[in-house]
Amino acid sequence: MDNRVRELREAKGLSQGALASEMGVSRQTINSIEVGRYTPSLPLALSLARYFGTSVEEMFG
Amino acid sequence: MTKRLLRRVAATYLASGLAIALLGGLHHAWLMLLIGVLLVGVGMVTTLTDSTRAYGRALGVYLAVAGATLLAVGALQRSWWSTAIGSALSVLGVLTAWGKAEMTSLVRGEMDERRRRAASHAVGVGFIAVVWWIVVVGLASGVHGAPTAVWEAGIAVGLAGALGDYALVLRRI
Repeated sequence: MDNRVRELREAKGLSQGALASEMGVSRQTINSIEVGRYTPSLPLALSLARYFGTSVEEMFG
Repeated sequence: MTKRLLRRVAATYLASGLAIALLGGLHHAWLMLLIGVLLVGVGMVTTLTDSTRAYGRALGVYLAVAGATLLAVGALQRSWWSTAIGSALSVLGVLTAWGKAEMTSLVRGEMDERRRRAASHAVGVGFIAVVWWIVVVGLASGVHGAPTAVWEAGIAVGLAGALGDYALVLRRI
């Protein structure tokens, strides 16, 4: 699934580990989401969208 | 648990494991050697964190080499327990190195939603492996029945299936 997680994370100057720590998941999970291997649950997608100040549709649409 | 305490626990495992393995090796006490090798492995797993991928690979290589050594020693001495545990350790080591040790998250209890999904799948696969084992052994042994050890081996088959599947799913998702 194409998404903008990497783009938004890099714009904020965050590492995958730092974002993972903010979201309460593992670094590997953030990496899997970024490369489109893993589709996050709705609560995690909402947390990511809220953290980056955007909507789920904009992030994962 | 704090990082400092974890380091102390790991150091204790590593030191006692090495001492026991060394004593076991010197006295040709293979069970002692095996326990030492396993304790060193537990110590290495305890020191692992998500950020140490190279260390995770090293742990996998260690387990694979230790397993292969046990397998060879077991085969030479016709000790089938050592051979079986050596084979299991080798497979575990290869899977750990291949998955950059992420499968040790199961032991460390560091689960998140992706890992829980993989674990849930793995439990299903382990259960199916045990069911198939029971069916196949039951059919193959016929009316005479199979020795108890063959039925007990089903537990190892189920565990191996579940662990293998956990590593595979983690690589896929």
